[in-house]
Amino acid sequence: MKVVITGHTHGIGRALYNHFQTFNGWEVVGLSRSNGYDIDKDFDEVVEAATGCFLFINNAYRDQQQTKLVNALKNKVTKMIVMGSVSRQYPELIHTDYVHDKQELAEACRLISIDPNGIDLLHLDLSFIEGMPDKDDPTHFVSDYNLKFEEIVSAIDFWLTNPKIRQIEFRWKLTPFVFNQLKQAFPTLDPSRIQF
Amino acid sequence: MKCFITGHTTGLGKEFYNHFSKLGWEVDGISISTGYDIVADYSQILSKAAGCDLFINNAYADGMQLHFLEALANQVGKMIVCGSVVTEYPDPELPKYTEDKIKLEKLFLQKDFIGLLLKLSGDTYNTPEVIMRVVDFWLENPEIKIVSFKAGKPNR
Repeated sequence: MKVVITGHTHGIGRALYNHFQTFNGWEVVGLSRSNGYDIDKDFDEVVEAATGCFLFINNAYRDQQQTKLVNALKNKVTKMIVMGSVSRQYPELIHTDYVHDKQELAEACRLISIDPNGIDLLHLDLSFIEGMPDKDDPTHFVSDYNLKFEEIVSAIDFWLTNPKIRQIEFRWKLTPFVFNQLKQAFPTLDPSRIQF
Repeated sequence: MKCFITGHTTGLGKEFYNHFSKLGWEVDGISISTGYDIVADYSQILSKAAGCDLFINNAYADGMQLHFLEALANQVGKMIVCGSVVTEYPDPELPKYTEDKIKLEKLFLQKDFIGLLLKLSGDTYNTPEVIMRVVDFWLENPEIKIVSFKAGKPNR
């Protein structure tokens, strides 16, 4: 079984890359800028490298490239995992291109999930993750309440044996610490809209 | 461990009842067949359920799920809310149901508590067996907040 993962040198991508290495008989291929696979500039090469694999992990974020990869590969891989963001649920709260991109990504995933012939696709809505932000993180927010890599990894393992699940969303805790950062980034933020 | 289920004598509620009984939990519930009217007996049900370790907000009961979520989110250890994929794939033949489930999901997203929203679809994809596996997995992994199933046909 072949797994292909984008953005395998950082964060959760690296954790998953390492995780699948422990699966007996599985071949794990990582695609990152560091080995010549930029999901923007080298889009066609990324699609070609992932075509035919058993599991494609659509992890690296760059503008609308994740959505383009979903559509380019939806009939060319057996299964797909897509790294989305819980922030898409709060577009009025956090209005950035990032949130907009993640909303479009969720919609592309939803369309595959209602297609009776669609592949098994898991859309993960992730919140803040341990080790963030790294230099590639577009949000630049830091949190004092983070998901652990192992929590994401076990959800993925669970899905592999229960493939009719289409989406798993994780808890996002709006701590005072996070709230203050949001307030700085978006001075017009209306606290009454937040009822956490 | 004590578990309380709304609508525990039929369908998925009954599956929950059997599942947690087998696990050795103390399971209690209310349903029409045991003489409860969710609307008329609302406050009595609230006092019965408050303080349990797990409240399973299962019975749809014409939008009463929303009231149980609001009243009990911080009065019980954990809560499982039976939602629906209809929020993403609206069913024009079920406008009230669709609207109620959308309200339920919005309120759920605003609450800070240990809760799981199950977004259920047709039986083909989420058999009781799979749902119980998800619930067991969530009890071990409470950072998960929503689990949604594939929906190849309108929810019924």
